[in-house]
Amino acid sequence: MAEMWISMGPQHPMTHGLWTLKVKVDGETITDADPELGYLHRSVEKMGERRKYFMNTTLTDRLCYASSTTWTHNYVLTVEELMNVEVPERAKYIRTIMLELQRLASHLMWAGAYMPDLGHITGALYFWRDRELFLNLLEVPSGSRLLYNYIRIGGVKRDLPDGFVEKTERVFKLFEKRLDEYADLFENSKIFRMRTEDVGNFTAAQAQNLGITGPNMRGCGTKFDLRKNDPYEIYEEIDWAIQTREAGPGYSDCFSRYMVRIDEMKESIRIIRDCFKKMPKGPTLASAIPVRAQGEAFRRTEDSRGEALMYVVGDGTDRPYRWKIKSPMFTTISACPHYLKGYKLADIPAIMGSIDICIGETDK
Amino acid sequence: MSEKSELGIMDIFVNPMKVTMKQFFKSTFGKPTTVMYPLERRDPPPTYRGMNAVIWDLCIGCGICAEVCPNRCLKMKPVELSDDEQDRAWYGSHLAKRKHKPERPAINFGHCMFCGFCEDYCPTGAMTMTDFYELADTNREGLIYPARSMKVDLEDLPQLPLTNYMMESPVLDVDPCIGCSKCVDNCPTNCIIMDVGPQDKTLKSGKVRNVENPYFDYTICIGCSTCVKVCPADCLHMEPISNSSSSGLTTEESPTEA
Repeated sequence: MAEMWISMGPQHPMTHGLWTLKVKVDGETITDADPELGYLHRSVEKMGERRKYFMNTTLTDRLCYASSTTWTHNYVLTVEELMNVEVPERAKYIRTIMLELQRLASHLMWAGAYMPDLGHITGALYFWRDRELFLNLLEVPSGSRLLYNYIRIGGVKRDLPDGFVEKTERVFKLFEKRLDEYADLFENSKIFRMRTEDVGNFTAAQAQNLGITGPNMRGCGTKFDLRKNDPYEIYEEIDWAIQTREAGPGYSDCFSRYMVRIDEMKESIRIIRDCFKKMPKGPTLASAIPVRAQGEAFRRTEDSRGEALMYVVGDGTDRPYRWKIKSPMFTTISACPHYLKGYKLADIPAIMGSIDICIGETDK
Repeated sequence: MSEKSELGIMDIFVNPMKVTMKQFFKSTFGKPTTVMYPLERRDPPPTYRGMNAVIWDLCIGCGICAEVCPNRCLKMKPVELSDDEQDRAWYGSHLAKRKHKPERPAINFGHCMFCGFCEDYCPTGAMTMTDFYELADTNREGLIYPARSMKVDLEDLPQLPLTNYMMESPVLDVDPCIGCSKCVDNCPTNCIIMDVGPQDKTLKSGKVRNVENPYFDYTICIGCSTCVKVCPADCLHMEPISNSSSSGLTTEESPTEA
């Protein structure tokens, strides 16, 4: 049968966000793929160069609307290194709590978006119902439901309100019961497994060579997490472990990538509980925060989707001279021909959904 | 896959059905998950960032909110203050002395992203964010809120201390200063005074006159940089707080040095 190119997107149920996937098919089998990005380019980096350092946290919030705290945290961490700001100990703990709550909300957002890809629309409602619990938690200290603008250069905006620990604990107790329900609904469901197992495989070596990081890489069994390997905030003092899964020796499929995220949610709960135990009292914002900066700095953090890196150059004024964002999803989407080849056209939603696409951060 | 063979008939039909039936009874007979929006509303937390409100008597018109607004949707607009408002205003006596009209913030909510910087950086606590979020309008002009529309009057004013959130304060280069005292006229907190400077100027008539220089009281300086903007001789610049309290001439008036 003759080969032909099929264009999926920019408006397609498979694309979470605006991008085009061109696939070359031989009958039903994919022989080549060509991702096209750039539909959602908002020139965030250039906009950041015209705003003061502290104002840019509003832009980083909008890099990925499903995981805004992690991106703001990455920017703030970079600027703090540039300005040599000492962050109070309590602020570090609050940041870690907010980061892990955001990771939970982000993974639930992904799981909810992944289920309609597989034709399981009820699954979306289950996951998004539980995401509300964490959005309500994140809303309490920050004052907003989606774009928090809570982490600031030198600390956090305000201290956690009274009763936050008890409220979080109530949510965790409920959510742990819900995780058991998910096990019945999805992990042990034969239909879900038939759609996801042995589909979209890539090996650990491929992931390393192509720059696939985060849960997608840990789905191959690679023990690599920047929270452990290049620790920031207080992840060193917290008792937790890197979660890995593998579909077979050294490779991942859609199901192992799903399971890694479920395990990470459980681990995030463990991290937050440990944070509440060890959290000291004290100020939440550094007393002297510089406005101008000179030099250059870069920091990488473990975003919900992989390794996020920011590079900021200061020229002595109160605005960054250059600001570069490295998105984990850009490399993962660019590598998609490698893990799409050989599978059927109908597997594309299952494969592309399983890597947790966020176009906001990819196109910037 | 080894795990695949373990799945039996229970896993395929019974267990998922159990969860579904549980949710079915919960959502049919239990409390609804959603809120019937126009009839009932969810309670936002006290920290909620909704429409802005300005506690009129606390506002000193410094313009920091306009400076920190990332979208530039907040502008300072000149307003007429009544005599009563003039009396009640903080630093009201100074406002009357000013050569131009006092200014208050006006917001275009069509551009506002509710980041809350104007609230956080307000040195007097006049700018607040309410829990009002129903701002939809039928035309764009309806989203532009003039200064008076956000006015809020409080019976008991919370007299917060002035805080310099900008982390910078003005520093004087003595040589170019011409002693025009424009900075004094425009300072919203009245933290500048003019006094004898080190330079003398010879007038055309041959008389020698001392050039007065501004002195800053850094305890109530809020770092709004209004003085830097209005200075005609470019003799002022902003420096971090720690530097400015220990640089040259301007320290003499600063009580923080002691």
